[in-house]
Amino acid sequence: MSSPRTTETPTRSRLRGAELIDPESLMRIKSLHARARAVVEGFLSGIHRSPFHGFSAEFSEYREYSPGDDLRYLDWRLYARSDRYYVKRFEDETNLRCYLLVDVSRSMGYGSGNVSKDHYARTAAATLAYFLNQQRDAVGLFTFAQEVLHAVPPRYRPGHLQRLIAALEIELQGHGTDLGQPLEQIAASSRKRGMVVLFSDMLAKIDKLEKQLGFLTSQGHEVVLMRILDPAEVEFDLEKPAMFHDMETGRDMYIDPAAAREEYQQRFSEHQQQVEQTCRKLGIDFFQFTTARPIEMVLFDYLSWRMQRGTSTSGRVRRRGNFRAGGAR
Amino acid sequence: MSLLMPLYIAGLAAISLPLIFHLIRRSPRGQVVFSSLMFLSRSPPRLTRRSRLDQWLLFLLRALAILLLAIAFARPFLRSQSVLGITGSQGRRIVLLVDTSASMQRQGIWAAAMERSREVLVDLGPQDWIALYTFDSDLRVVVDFPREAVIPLAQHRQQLGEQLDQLSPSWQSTDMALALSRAAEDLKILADESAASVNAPLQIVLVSDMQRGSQIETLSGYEWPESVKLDIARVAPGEAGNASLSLVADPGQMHQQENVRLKVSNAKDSPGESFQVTWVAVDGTSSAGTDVYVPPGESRVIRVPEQTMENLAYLQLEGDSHGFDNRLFLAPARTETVGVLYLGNDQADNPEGALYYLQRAYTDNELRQFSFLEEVPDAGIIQGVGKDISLAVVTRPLQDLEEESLRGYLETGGHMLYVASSIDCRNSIRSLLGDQQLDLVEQKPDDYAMLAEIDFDHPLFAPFKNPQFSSFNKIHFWQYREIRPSPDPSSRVLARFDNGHPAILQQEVGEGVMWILASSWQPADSELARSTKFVPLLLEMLEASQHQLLKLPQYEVGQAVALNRETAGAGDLVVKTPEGSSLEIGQQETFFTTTSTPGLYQLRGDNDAIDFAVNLPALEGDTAILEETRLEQFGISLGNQQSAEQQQQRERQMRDIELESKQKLWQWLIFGAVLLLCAETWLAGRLTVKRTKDEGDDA
Repeated sequence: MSSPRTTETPTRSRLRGAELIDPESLMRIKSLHARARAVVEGFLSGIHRSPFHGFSAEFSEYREYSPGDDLRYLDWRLYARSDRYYVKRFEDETNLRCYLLVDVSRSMGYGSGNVSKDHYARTAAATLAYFLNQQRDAVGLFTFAQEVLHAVPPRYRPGHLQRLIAALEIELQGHGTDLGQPLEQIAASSRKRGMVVLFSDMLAKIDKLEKQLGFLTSQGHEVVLMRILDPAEVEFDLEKPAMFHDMETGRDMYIDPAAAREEYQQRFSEHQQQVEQTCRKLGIDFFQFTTARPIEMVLFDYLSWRMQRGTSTSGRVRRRGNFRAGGAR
Repeated sequence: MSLLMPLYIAGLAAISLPLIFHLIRRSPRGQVVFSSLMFLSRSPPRLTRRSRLDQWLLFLLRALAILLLAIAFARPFLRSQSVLGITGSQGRRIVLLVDTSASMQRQGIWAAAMERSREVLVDLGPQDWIALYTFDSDLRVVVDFPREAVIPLAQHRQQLGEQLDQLSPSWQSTDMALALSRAAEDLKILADESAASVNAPLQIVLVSDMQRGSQIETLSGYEWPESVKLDIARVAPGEAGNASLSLVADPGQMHQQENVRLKVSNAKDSPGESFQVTWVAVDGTSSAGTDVYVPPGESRVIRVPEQTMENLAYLQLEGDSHGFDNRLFLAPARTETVGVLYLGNDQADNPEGALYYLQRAYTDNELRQFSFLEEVPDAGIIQGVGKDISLAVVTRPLQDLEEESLRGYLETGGHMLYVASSIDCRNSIRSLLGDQQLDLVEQKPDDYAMLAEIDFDHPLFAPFKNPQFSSFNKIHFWQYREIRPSPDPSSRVLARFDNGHPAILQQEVGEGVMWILASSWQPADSELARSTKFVPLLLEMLEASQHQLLKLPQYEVGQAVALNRETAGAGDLVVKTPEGSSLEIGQQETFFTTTSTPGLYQLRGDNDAIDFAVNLPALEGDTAILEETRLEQFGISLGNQQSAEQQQQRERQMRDIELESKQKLWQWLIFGAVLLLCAETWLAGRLTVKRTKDEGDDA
């Protein structure tokens, strides 16, 4: 089994010193809003950087002056040093438009411990929404199973975060996972380019995955796939033979885990490789967590990715603030 | 050791159940919910440690408990403990009662009856006795029981089989009540009298078509012996249904070829409903028929139109598959001329006189034509008086010449009624009877006299014997002539008045008979002429003086034909049967009984020949099925008696049951099984606790 890619950055080493909240303890907080705030505030205090500082136009490059340019942007100091006219260019400042896509199919309800994938995904989505909202970015939400169940368009306005979190708090309704229809629907309804963060266990057939994810990338969205799994799904370390009940299809099957483990792991790994391969082909960034991982790390991974992405790919979405950077992956 | 119910031993197969349960894979307990089974495939059952026995002791205990239960249910017992001898059982005493009535002539039925009878012979046990009886309107013993083994049983049975082959159905009607009651009685007598048959099971096997016209009603007066069982072997004809033809009109009033009133009946299960009735001549040619439509289960009365053909033989019913009851023979009726001599003072049109009523009593009909003479014929007729004058009625004193003539008439066999209408008749009566002591005394009761002490055994009053008709109280006599002194012992008083005086007196004179009525039917004397008894009484007097050889032209098969010997004279009588043979009737015989087949018979005397017809009784044509429950209503126990082998088997079985119930080994076996099951439960509990503990430790 291939392990998900992680990035080692200076920020990560800083995080190690900070106390991360165990997901199980976190889930005891009933309010999703409170949970998201706890993560974001704790995370920000952990990295000792405030998102409230440094909002300003950022210098980007110099260009030779040509007649007609606005003289306000002429760098007089450079002119003093080099006796040549250069015009300073600044990065365009724009607000991020982020779509959070949360899979609420029945398989997401599985949890071998006290934390189900579903709760984990909702909390992670809420955390991200809270964080982006703090940055005055427009955040939208789609929950889906076989089809889109709830849709909150991306906005930045007072009360929007509450509305979004309320939509996230609605319990599981779907059955099986089918990315096709929901993604097409989302692609159709999100005409403006932005960023798409997809939370799903991806436990579905992948023969059409490329086409389905292609709906999003073709719209020019920047897509990141956060795959959330239960530790038991990765390791398949169940012991006793039993009648296994499929949460999505309702099928029953007698399975002896000891005998089935090897085959399971092999097929699971193949599936994961196919998912990764598809993501790579489409330029989609792929992260995989288990529900045992602290949610701060999700935020951390996201930010690391943003930073790396900002440095490698120039200007699909021009950002301000700390998240401008982003490494090529 | 023996088993009462060995079939339960099959329960031993249940021993394999613990083994199967032991080796079988246990289905997983509980259910594990998993997100998706897309990476999983069904695991093969895990049979490790299951393909061999883990718990030998548990298995043994369970198997042993089942073994004990199976044996307990099989009810074992020890035969050697008590030996009971089986008493020698007797063979059955069987009467094979074969119906040979006319309805057995239907197609296919007789062959079936013979087959059933032979089956009875084949099914006989070695100790069974059998007798062969046949019945129709009478019961005949064809082969009796072998009784005290005078002849070997095998030989007897062979003889019976041979006799069976010679049987054939007759033309007689069915009297099942007579046959059953006599057969049952014979069996009872056999059981009472024969030492070898004292406790033998008694059985009647009735081989019959069980038709409804079997006349079983008289069985209600017979108490069926409880020890006799009746087994009914019903035989059915090849083709269902039957239609029959019978005469409706009173044979005495019917006139051949005219106004023949017939009844056509159709059985309930009959397939056809359209029939034709045709006249068939002696040479076999038939006339155009009369169509008749009779739905199944119903009957129709029709009139056959007059026929002008010569030599008509019989009426034939066409359209019915069973022909045994489809012919109706009709004898030509003869009209007899009856001469009545009346000597009286009154005129025929005077309603106060006696002749007025006499002529109304004796009116012409199809059988008789009356001629009244009102004075004694000339001397030359006296010799022939017996032929021409059937009855002389006198109501007045006679003259000497008349007395002489009538006395001669009486002595040659004449019949005479002397109505003593006045005491003046005294002398005539005296001279006719030859009794000079006789006197007549006028009697006038205060109110009226009635008839009492009537001799209903005398032919004159026999028709009134039935209590329904025996009351003469409504006939009032206003006056009468007492006959004094009491007549001599040779005379017979047929009726007396209520004060004891003779009312009607019979005195034989020579070969003739003279009746003296002490009053008269004139309205001045009595109400006799206006009573309902008057005409029948006078007709009976005429009957007594009749000279016809036969009374009726129509008879039924098996019915005895009464012959009038007095008229026949001394010569032999010969009857020509329908088959063409001639049967002589002895001089002493007054009945002809060989009416065995339907057809036209001819009776020939010295100087007369009379045709008479013999037909199948109408009841025999009723071939609807008689339900067996009807017989049960008469207390007849239906069913089969057990053969000697079956009895022995049953006795042995009873003995085994008795032995088993005495020993009751099954109780011990059940007790043992319960103990074993207790031990098994305890052991299994212990093992479970131990395993749980081990698992807990492992965890």
